[in-house]
Amino acid sequence: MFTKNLKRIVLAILVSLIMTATISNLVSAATYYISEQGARFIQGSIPIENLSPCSSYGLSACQDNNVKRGYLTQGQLGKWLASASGTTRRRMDWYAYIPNSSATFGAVYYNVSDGSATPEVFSVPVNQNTWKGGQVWLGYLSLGYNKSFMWVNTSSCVPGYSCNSSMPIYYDMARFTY
Amino acid sequence: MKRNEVVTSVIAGLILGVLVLATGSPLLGSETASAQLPVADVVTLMRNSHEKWSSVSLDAVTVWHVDGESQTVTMSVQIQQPNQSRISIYQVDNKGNVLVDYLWVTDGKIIYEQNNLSKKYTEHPVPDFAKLPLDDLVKSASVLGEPVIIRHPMAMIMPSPLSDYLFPTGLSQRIGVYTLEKDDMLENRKSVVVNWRNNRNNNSDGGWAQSRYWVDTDTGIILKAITYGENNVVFEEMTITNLTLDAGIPSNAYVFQPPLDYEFIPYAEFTAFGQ
Repeated sequence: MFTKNLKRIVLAILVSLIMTATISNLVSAATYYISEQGARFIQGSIPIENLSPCSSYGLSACQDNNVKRGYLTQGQLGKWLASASGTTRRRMDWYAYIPNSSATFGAVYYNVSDGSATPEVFSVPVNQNTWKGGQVWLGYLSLGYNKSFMWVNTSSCVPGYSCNSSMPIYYDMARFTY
Repeated sequence: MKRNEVVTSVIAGLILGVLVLATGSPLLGSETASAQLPVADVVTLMRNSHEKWSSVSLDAVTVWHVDGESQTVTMSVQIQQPNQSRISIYQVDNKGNVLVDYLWVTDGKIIYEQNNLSKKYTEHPVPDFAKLPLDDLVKSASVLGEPVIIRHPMAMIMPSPLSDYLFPTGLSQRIGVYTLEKDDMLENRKSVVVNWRNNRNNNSDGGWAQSRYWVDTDTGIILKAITYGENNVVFEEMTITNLTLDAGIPSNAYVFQPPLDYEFIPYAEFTAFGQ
């Protein structure tokens, strides 16, 4: 009697263990997909670098979609200028799209300024290798006088990141909203 | 055993299995318990990591491998949320040349930067956007109506590869696929290893971009990271050590006091800005 019950218990436990392990493995092997759909900018032909004036394109956002490549320690790589009519001080947001690739990109500062005599200026370190295929928000000027510059400077490396002159840096589409 | 006894035992086993799965029974063991954390939950943990801790003190080492050479970065960090931080960065190449010896401090209002190689320092205001809570930033920056990667404001202003590992909300939005690998222990803390790959179809060369993160299961902080470069060769290795959470940071950690023989120069000049 004892042996019979023991067999039943062992069989029941075996079945439960097999079932639990199977389902656990299925759950842990699941993937989570972050959609890339819509991550790209609006396609269009807007003059390179000089994004002014945005309003003539009927957009609240300006963009430059010509990809260019440079290298770390090369010097100033890309610059965008955006301006709007009027003299109202307003918030000006900047975004950058980093191209997709399996290549290894470098880290750079994206610098933003209103270009005035006493400029409001900030810089955001961006490891391009991390944000490939994505549109990264870079912050905003809070009191811009309707004019905003953004540029990538590769002559000074970002502390703590790899700084090798063979590492490529891309500047692709930049966006600006106000 | 008779046939009906076998059937009864199998049914009992199935019921027991369902109960174990439904209740998360300790029968599964602690290792298996965190392995069952769905990868979506790990990504969510990374996204909300900054809500899981208030202060952190740690050391970290990052090694970069480029063109057969390496650069080693040693960092020491103290952070008090929401916006106070101090980080020292020391970077050498494999020939022993010192590339960076840097101090970056913010008290939440002013950012101080000190270059110990040039013996120069500067200061500049914390940008307004970096003073906002993350939730406000997310709402504010989504006006484009398109997916935008919003990094934590502290990650945006700290000049260090550690910043996005300590505030991984931006990494949780990386364009690509996260998969779960395994459980691990680092610094006596439970972690779960996730693998990230980008979309191969979007790469003109048909290769992958890939990273692996050891995500602390309590806080979402990334304790270790490996990033692979071209030909799947390791490009970046980062490991955190001496991690102390929520023990408070002495307030004088965010007081900047440059050496007397260091020269102050304006921010634009310090960073070699120019238009």
